[in-house]
This record gives sequence, C-alpha cells and structure tokens, in this order.
Amino acid sequence: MVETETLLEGATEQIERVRREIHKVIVGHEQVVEGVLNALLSGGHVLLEGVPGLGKTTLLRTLGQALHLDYSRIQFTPDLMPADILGSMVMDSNEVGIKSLRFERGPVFSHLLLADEINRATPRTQSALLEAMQEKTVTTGTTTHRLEEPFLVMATQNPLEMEGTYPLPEAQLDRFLLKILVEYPERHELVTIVERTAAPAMPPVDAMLDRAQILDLRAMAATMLVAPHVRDYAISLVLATQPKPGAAHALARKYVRYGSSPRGAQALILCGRVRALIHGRLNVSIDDVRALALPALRHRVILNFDAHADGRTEDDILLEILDSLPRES
Amino acid sequence: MPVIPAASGLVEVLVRSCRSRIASQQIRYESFLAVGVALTGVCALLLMGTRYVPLATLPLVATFGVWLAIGRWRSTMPDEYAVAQRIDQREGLRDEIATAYHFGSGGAAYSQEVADAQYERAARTAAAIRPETVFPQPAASTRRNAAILLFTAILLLGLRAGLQSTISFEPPLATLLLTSLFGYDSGSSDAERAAAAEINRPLQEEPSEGRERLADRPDGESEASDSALPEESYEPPDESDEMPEVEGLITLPLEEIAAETGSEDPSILDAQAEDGAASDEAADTPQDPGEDPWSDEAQSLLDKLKQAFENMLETLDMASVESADSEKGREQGSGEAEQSSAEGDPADSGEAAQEMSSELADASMEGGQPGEESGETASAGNTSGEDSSGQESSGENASAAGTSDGSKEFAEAEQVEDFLGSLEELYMERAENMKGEVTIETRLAEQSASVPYNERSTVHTDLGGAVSRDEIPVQYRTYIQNYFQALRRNAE
Repeated sequence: MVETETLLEGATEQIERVRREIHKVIVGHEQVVEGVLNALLSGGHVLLEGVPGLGKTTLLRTLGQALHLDYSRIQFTPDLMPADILGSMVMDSNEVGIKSLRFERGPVFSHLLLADEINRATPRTQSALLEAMQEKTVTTGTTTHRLEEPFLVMATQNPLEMEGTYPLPEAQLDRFLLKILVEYPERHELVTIVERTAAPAMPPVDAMLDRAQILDLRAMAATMLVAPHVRDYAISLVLATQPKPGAAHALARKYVRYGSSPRGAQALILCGRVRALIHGRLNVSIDDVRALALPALRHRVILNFDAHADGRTEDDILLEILDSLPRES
Repeated sequence: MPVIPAASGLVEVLVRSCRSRIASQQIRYESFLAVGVALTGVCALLLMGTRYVPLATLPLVATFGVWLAIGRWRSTMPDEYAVAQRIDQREGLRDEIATAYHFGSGGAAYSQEVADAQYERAARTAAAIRPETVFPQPAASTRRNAAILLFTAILLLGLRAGLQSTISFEPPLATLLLTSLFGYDSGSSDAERAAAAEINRPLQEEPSEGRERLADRPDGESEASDSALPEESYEPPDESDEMPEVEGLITLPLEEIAAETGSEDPSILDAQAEDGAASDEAADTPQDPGEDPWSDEAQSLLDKLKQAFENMLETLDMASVESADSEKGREQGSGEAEQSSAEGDPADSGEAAQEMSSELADASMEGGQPGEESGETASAGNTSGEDSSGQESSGENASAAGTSDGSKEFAEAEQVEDFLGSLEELYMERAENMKGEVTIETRLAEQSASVPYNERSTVHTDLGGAVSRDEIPVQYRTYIQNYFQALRRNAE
C-alpha cells in the first residue's frame, strides 16, 4: 500500500513536471494542457478547435518537445493526398540495378502527429487517418504496418464557419477521444504572452518523459478504481444524449440527431482514470465525469436543424443534461 | 501518517453509523406523518360529524397512516452503499468513501493493491468524520404538520363544546354553527327549518323574559294595571267558528262578550283563564322538531291571523287621534289576543284569536265605545294570574313579528317581480339569437357553383444549377443539398 502511494505520488509529480514545461511557453489554457496530457495518457487522440492565433499549434509543438517522442507535423491543405500522410510505394533500385517497389513511410509513422488545420483537407484525405487513429495500423496494398505506441494524433481545426474548411466526417470525429475548445486568453494572460513573445528567445523546453515512462503512466492510470455508481453515472449521461425513447433527455429528443456512441462512455471512464491520477487520487469520482463530459461528448453529439435554427450548441445541451442528471444511483 | 489496515472496517463503521442516524430520522419523520394522517381523520370527524364520517373510519385512517409511513420508510431508506455516496457528497470527498466501501466489501478491482491503498485513504478520512456532523437530525417537517393538525383538532373540539351543552359528535360543525348563529339548520328538512325559525323568533323564545320584565316593573304600576282590568272580561274563543274578514277593530268589555255568548258565570272566564295558562305551559314546553307541529293548515290560519292583525293595526292608527289611553288599551288587547294565538297549541290559539277578533269587530259595528272599553278588554286578559303578565309583554312582540312578516312578503313579491323580469329578458334574448333551418322554395333549374382559379403548379426552373459546398455554411449544406435533390426528383 505504501508502495502504491509512492508510485502515485511519483506519477503525479512526473505529470506535473510536464505541465510546468509546457507552461514555460503556453500561457494560461490550463484545462487545454490537462486535456492534451489526459488524451496522451489515455491512449486517445485530441482535437483542438479555435480561431487562428490562439496557440494551438504552439501547444502541441511544445508538448512534443517536452516528451522524448518522435514528433511530426502535417499541414493540411485542400490538395493534400492520403499518400502524403500515410506514405506511398516508391520505385527503388539496388546496387545491381534491379528495381523494386518500396513503402516509404509517411509522417503518420511517429509517436506524436500534429495534424494542423485538419479540416482544410478534403474528407478523403481526412479519412486516411481513420485506420491509424482507431486501429493504430496503416494498410497499403496488402501490407499492414503497425504504429508504435504511444501514438497520439493532435489535430487542430478552425471553426467550421470559416472559409475553406471541410467538416470532419462523423466517423473520424468519434475517433478523437477529446475535443477541446481553445478560448481567447484573459487580459493578464495576454500581457504575459506579449512579454514572452517579444523576448529575443523563447525559454527552452526540456523533455520530461520518455516513451517507457509514458507507457508506465498509462498502465497505472488503468488501475484507478471506478465505483459502480460512477460508472452508472457515465452511462446515464451518454444515454441521456441519445434521442431515443427511454433514458433520453427532453432536449436530446428535441435537438439531437445522433447522440453519443459507446465511445463516449469509454472516453469518460478512461479519461476519468487519468484525471484521477493527475490529481493524485486513486478513484474516479462523479466530479471527474462531469468535468470531462463536455470535451468527451461535445463532438459525439450531432445536432439537428432545429438546434441550429434555435441557436443551441452542443455545450448548451450537455450542460443542461448534466444539471438534470441525479448524482445518486 | 498512521497506517490503517484495510481490515480495520472504519469505513463500514462510519457508513453504518450514518445509516442508523438516517433510519432514526426517517422513523421520526414517518411517525409524525402517520400521526398527521390520523389527526386528519380526527379533524374530518370533528368537522363533518359522525353523520358523515362514521366513528369506525378513525381506526381505518390511523391504520392507513401507519401503512403509509411504513411503506415510505421502506422505499426511501437507503442501503449502505447509497449512504456512503451521501457521505461523499455532503463532505465533498469525491466518492472516496463509496469507492472504498464498494471495493472493501468484495468489489473486484484491476489492482488489489490500489484498492487497499484507496481503502486506507478512505479509512483515514472516515476516522475524522463524525456522523453527527454529516447527518444532523433536524426537526422533521412532518412534526410541524402534525402539531398544526393537533391544534386544529383541539380547536374544533373546543368549538363543538362551546356550541353544545353536551358534546355530541353527530351533527356536522357547519350545522351547529348555522343553527347557533343564524338559527338555520342546513341538515334538516324545510319543515324542520321553518319550525326552527319559528322557535328562534323572539316572540316565542322569550315568554319567561317577558314575565320577568313585567315582574320588574314598579309595584304601583303593576297594581294599577291589574286593578284596571276586571277579572271576568275574557271570553275564550270557540274553535268551531271561522275567522271572518276583519276590516276594523273595536274592542268591547268582556262582560258584553260574555253576555253575547250567553255565559254570565265568571267561572267560565276562570276556566278559560286556566285554559290560557295551560296553553302557556304548552308554549313553554320545548317542541320536538321531528313532530312538525306547524302543519300547512295551521300555517295558513296563522297567516290569516297576521293579516287580520295588520288590518287591526291600521284601524288603530286611524283611531289614535281620539285618545292615547284608548289606543294603549287597543294595543294591549290586540297584543293579548295575538299572544293567546302564539302560546300553546298554535292551531287552537290561532282560531281563538280569530273568533275574538271577529267578535270585537262585531261589537265595534254595534257602536260601542272603542277607547276605554277596549282598554278594559285588553287588561282583562291579565286577570288570569301571573301568566297573563307574560302574555301581555309577549303580545307586543307578536305584533312586531307580524309586521315583520308582512314586510317579508312585500320583499318576496318584489323578488318574484324582479325574477320574472329577468326571465322575460332571458326569453327575449334567446328569441333574438334563435337559430334553425330555413327552407326556401325555388323553381327547379340547373345550378352551378364557380370557384376562383388559383395557379398552384409553380416550378423551380433552375434545375441545372450547381452550388459549391464552400459557398454556404456547412451546417446548412445537407439541407440545401436535400432541397435540390428533391427539386430534381420532382422535375423528373
């Protein structure tokens, strides 16, 4: 028991060091940084959405620097092709001049993949990441290549109302464990940002975690305790978003076209465990589930036209569902 | 930091202690609820009386309250795991106790070491928690309700005791209130209500009071009035005679009346006076409302008597210019006559008064002296003993009651007139709004109906138009695409 406590304290301290390194560059955005770390330790992928200039790319690049992991970046454009992401077969010749086809790995073969402005590529190219994100494999022709753990896709996207954007397919949206909204910084945060960026050089970011440590943290997070009533709360929350008779919330029946998939409940529990680890607890609480409800479910709830016409957003509906959901089992 | 083993059971001890506090609080709450239900039954009985709420329903209501309390207690009593969740919520422990309770009582965990470590944390937390602070036992809200109901029951009981000489739970409280305040019994029949109203009239209610007032008069005045009245001046009325139409009233000395009836023996008058006393005793006896003494026949006779006295009073008003003494005598005489009708058997006394009035009227037509003699006649009624003094004072009340009844009739007539006027307006209004089918005879001919032409087949002609996805907001693209697809389908 003492050993477990020591391990827990060590894990919490490691995560905290990474956070401090990231905050050398990133000002504010505590929830965003925690969400990204949560996705990393949960084995999922994270989608950051916000208007340009809020530091999404900088955050993910800094995270790559704070971890001893392979890092690659793809700038998504409308003419980007799937092969540009996954790799392609190239003609190669050996010393004697015999030519053969060889698979040239694309940038997806890394630990951290920054897919910048992912919604500027066509749906065809976006869908190239489906297999990599879910199965952690890449198939070209008849050959399947396995991606090395940890594999984390960190994508940014601009709001859909902006010019030259394509909506992500629902299937791909569902594969992101968390969707985190990046908001404008507060005034005092903006002051710090201006001061830091006006300096001749940015402070150096040291790598705090290597691949093995990250996998250990993942294994430890998986052992966090989830009581039945916490699990039931997460399931009730997911069911409440589905517009079908039974446990559906009234707002879901009115405004939701597709509710959350079972991946939503999985995300709540997985991320809840990591959140408990980050906060130095051994058990997941209902408060963890509530704190993760918006980032874990907002991209899994597809609203209907009535919701758009009435100006309702996913966050509005989820918050009202959270308020009406009883905590006691 | 002390190490607390997982087998210490501190978490379970805390949970069970809190659950026992919840149970005791629930028991108190539900007990007061059961008491409140039972008191509601008591209040209903005190309000409605055993006439509508039989006494046997009280045990049933109490049993229902106990059953309700037990059922609610069993359904709302949380189990230990739920109690652990409540502890976490109230203490802000982020489900630490509930998780430790679950995995400490056999819940499967991925890592038993983590479960033990978590239990150790929870046990340390539980050791610092006092169940009294987590679950204080405030006063149950049902206790206040039960107290209010108890107060109401006591109030109703006191009200009943105040309205009744001996407490009876049979009649409804509303009936008691109406009877005591307005003399109106809502629970009885019309005849009973009429009887109760007659009983409550001041005329019949206060014969003894009238006697007392007479007894309180100065002795000289009483003696003067008694001496002015001859003892043999009263003739009892004959029940077989019908009441004539009385247009005026002239009083005669009772000696003349006795001479006309052929009975000059004063003993007759004494016997008649005894009859009057007997009728007085009958009036003093409380009447049973269930016997219905005021039959329709007696009521009609009484009405006729009232009418006669009204005519008499009008005549007296006309003759009042002759002398004040004679007027006083007439009033006393008429009061006495009416008094005799009001006391004793109503039918008998009413007929006696009618006969007396008719005889007095006949005497006046013969040219007697109305002033002095009528005063003597009126005072003659008082010679029949002590009861006669009460008759005189109640006779004044009877005159007042007759006048009041007359005005009631006028008021009723006015009400009927107003009601008929309303009916007339209603019928006229309905006549104006009357609806029905109208049949018009026409010649047989071809008839045609024409409807204005509306062009409804407007077609969207821009079938080949293409809309790029980039030009429209993404959230509307699906709908716009469906719109154009529908257009094309319709065109095909």
